Amino acid sequence: MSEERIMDLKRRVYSAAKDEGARVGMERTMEAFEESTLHIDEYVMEMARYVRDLKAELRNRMLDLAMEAAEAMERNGMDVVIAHTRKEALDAVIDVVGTGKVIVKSKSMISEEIGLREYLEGMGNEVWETDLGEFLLQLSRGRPSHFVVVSMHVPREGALEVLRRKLGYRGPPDVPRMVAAVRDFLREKMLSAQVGITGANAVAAREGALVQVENESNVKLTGSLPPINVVVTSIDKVVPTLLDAIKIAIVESYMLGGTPPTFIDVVSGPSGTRDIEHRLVRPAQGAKEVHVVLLDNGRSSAAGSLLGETLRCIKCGACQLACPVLTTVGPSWGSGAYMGGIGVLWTAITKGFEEAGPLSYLCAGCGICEEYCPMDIKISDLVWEIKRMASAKLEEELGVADS
Amino acid sequence: MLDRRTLAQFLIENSRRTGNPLGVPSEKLSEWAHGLDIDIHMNSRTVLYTGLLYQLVPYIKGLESLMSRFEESRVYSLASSMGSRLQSRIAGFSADRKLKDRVTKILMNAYKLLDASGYEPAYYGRLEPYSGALFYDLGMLEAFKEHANKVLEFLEENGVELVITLDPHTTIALKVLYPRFVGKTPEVRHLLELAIDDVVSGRGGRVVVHDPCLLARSLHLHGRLRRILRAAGYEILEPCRSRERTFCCGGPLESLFPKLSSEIACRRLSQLSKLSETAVAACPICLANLTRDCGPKVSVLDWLELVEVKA
Repeated sequence: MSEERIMDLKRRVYSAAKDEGARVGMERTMEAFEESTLHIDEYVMEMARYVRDLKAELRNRMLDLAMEAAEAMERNGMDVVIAHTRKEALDAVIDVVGTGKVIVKSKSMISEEIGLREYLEGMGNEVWETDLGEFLLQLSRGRPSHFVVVSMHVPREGALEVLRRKLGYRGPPDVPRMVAAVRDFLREKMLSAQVGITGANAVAAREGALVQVENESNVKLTGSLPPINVVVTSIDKVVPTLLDAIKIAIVESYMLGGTPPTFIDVVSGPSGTRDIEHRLVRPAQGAKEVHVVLLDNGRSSAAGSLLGETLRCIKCGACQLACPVLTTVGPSWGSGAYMGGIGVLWTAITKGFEEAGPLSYLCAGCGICEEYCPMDIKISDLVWEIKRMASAKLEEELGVADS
Repeated sequence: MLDRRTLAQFLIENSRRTGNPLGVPSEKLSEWAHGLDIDIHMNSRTVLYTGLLYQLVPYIKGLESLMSRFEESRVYSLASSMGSRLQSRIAGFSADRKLKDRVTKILMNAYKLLDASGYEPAYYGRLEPYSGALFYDLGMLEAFKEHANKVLEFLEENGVELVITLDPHTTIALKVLYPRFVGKTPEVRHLLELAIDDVVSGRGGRVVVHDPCLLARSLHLHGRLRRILRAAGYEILEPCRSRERTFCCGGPLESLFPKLSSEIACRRLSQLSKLSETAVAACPICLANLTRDCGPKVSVLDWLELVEVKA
């Protein structure tokens, strides 16, 4: 690994640590998070343990389960592609979308992983993020700092500034008015879009169903208002049953907000009705086509590796909000989609060790992530393993003997 | 800015030359014990193993200002010339006087506390090898193993059956990491596990606890720390993140990302300052990193500066 890359990273994090606005935003988010997650009900924790054990068990038959899910989803009238690489995933999406379209998109880390928005824009489409945080990042050309609270490094003052500059917002500096302005702007986009791209928090193999958890209602609208819905998700999210998938949605929601989800959406096919003579007609009110991309991109080969237990991650981001380093430097400690300690592991899986190596040095090894992880992933220990691999070559060069 | 390679080279060369990664002459690291008559216990099968970590704190602080100048510098070179330049500039760096006095007191106090609790451990002074903890934090497993082997040899040669440690990093190294990567260690106990509540006293007052990460999350000694502080007459206040969910001081990032480590320390100091002007920690790395002046009005003391043996 070149020293240059570590120096680049160092420059990035040093300049990020100087960003007072970002620090304020993250400090406020972290405080709110602490308060909301102090007392999580035992029944939720029991569900979390169930999910943890289930996902540990599924790790080695991830691809088989993905195939089962794909078949079930096809039976339900959806088109499914299992994409082995980033390129295959992008090809699958562009096959459906084409060019010259207006596209609305909800937040998804898998789409960040493959750089979907930028790719679609490059292919001549107009893309709008419909999650408020992601929308702010799109306008300010920022990167996410968290799996869920993507814009935790943008404080209300920063949000106001970007809305004034990019959206011509003239209203007062209060958050509800800002949110309302974004709602008006995006509603128009959602109504005119030809394609809606969404993600999924879990996928049920038996039922062939996608489960999405959200609070804003933008996922619902993004997936159902445009005639075509493309769902981009990954094979590690496939679980045996719909009940399992919903448990994941519940756990995810509680882990971050301390509350049940405002909405859990289940998508198991295009919109349709049999209300007239029981003959299926598509669509009714929602999308007439649903296309699903199930991305592998290193996951199945990581299953049997040192990093295997990372695949239990449900991307709730509890570890990230607890991390003193990530909440100090924000997105600069990340590879685009994946940030913080858990991000180092996901980067290693999806982009390789070369990419993850430099990032591993930012982990202080304090272990707080492991305290918060409901899936009991040994995040700190695994990041250290990546650090060790990155340091091994250096030690060799400096003549420290392998005893 | 200092790069990883130069840093690693600096630490390794120092270790080879002096046995410790900062290159401090070993006799300076055992000076604290000069006032104690401990030669009488040299046949003991119990050893006080400091791992040199507390003693290095004043030197870490002394190095800090020098290092921050390197961090400010916009040029850096990957060539080893930088390493040797750093080496020669650093050769003359000195310890932070005030901290050195504090550390002497901390270590003396630790020894007295052991004595009052019925232990008569041997202390080997300048023969004591470094644990290698810093190399572990940098992922430098081979360098860590070299140190571990020396420590294990040292313990074996002296027929040690019980190792008493004073800080969480050294404790974890011996208790958990040596067995994982190198070999079996004799029984390891942290001072907090052995000190008896009945023998302690203190000035009293309200103190906010900063739990060191490893002490709480890995060694689970946070409850023990509170009990002994209470026994010494202190009222304990809990900051927004405490016990197993304590907020790291940023110390382990000091070597590679010193500016970041100070940013995180300031965040923690600000959290602590909301409860009291006196905070208590139990780790030399926390002590080094939280001893800084960045706004929040709170001074961080080690528990061994607050807890004393009853007169």
